[in-house]
Amino acid sequence: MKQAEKNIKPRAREEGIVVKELADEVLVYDTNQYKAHCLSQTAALVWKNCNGRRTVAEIAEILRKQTGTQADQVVWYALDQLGRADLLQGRVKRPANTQVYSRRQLLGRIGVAALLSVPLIVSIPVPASASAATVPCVNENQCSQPGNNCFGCFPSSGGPGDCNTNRCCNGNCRDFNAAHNACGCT
Amino acid sequence: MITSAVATSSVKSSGAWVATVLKGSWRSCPPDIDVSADELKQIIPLLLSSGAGGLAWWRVRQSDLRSPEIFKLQQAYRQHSIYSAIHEQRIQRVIGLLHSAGVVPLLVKGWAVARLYPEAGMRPYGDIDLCLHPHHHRAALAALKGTEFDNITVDLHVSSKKLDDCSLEELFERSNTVKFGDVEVRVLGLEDQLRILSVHFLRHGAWRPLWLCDIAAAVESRPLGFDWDRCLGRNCRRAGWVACAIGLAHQLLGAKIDDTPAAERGKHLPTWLVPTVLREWGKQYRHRIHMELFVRQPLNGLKELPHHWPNAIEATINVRGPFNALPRLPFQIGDSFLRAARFLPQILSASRKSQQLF
Repeated sequence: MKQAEKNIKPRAREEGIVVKELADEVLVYDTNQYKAHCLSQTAALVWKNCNGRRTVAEIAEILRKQTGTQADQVVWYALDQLGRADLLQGRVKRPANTQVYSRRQLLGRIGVAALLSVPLIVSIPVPASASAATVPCVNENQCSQPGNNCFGCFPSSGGPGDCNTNRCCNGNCRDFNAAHNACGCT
Repeated sequence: MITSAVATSSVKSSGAWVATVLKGSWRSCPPDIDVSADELKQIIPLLLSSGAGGLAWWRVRQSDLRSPEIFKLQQAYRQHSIYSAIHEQRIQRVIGLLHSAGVVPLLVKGWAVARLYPEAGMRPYGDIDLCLHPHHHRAALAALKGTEFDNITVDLHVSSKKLDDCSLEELFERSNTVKFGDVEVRVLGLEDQLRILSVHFLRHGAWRPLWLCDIAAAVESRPLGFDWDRCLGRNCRRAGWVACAIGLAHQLLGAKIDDTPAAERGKHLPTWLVPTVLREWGKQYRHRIHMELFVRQPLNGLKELPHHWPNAIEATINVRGPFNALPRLPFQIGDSFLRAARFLPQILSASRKSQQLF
């Protein structure tokens, strides 16, 4: 590994992140951007070892010991993906003399047998309700999160502007059209 | 067993397929699944829309079944897992805020039920439901005002009427404290929880298979010394409802109930019960729209009316009837009349206001 690579010490983002470890993958939720990512074991291993003290070479060595994956390019590939997903503090700049591989090229280099060690990051669609943002919802079809319900939103006995129930995809049931004595979820 | 419930029709209904897929799904090692990818594909929308996608994934993940549709189940499982992590942090924060205001809430539903499962992602949960002593209500509102919980749904209940026939004091008295991160959370006693889950499932017409999985998980995870007398309660009719719900968990989902007082009931459920549940599970659930909204649109109101016809299960619960072999139509008619009588004043009031406005 080149000297330039040795000096790079990537650091994983810690603020605004919720992590959930599953048996064979790690889920990371970005509370700033309301985005969720699913990290394969290799990607998670690289990410967890990005502590700002370990160099890329050291991370590659840890990866080699734990998974048997030899290619240093795997770490660079993971860092690229982690950077794109905004899971690192700042973007890790790849030294100019290292080659950028696509996933397919990487597979070609490390061998299809090592398919599982390709660091993968898959985005997961997370409904805005998970971020507790107020989501417009006027009927249940707009509740994309299984288990979240839109009970509608209706005027209570208090008259126009007095809306009842706020169980609308975690949105708020507010006065929608006072002239028509109707409520909506905003 | 499920085969007996399903064998009545030569072609398995969608509801029966849902039951087949969810059989034993709440266990850490669910049984092997015996459905084809095509069969599974047909019911994936039903599983996802009823919140059972995570459980279905838990069941199929060890199998060879793979397709883009089945991937949706995995994504649902991941969504629930992430959501549970976010939710757990929120629960700890809200309980911490309430504790600092001297309020001790009782956490019901949601996480309190999800903890019965081996993994958090198996079950979705949304709102944070907390029961409080009425004299703590004002302090609780003050503690949450101006915090993030102004925007996140935290339902504060000062009465147990919607949950159970036991008083809030009784539920508090029999509650347990569990360590949850940095805070201690008060949750329902396991006996109360199983009774409440059972009645809740039936009261809502048994439309959600997830709720029957909750019941199955609660039955199978009960500790030694589980007090069945406390669970079934003093009211014989309500005890019958609970036994029926547990019996359904056995017949439809294969819950192990042999050593429970519901074992006998589980073998002899009323003939109308299982088909009613499977019918509900086989269709997309549609929430009822409040009839007050149709005051100025009576034709739309008429179109909505059939959706308000109660199924046999919810009608029986609403009129506090027994689960026996008698026909259900009288219960359904009775329930419809009761609800119409309850809503009539509200509709008239909304109508008067509407006339004043226009």
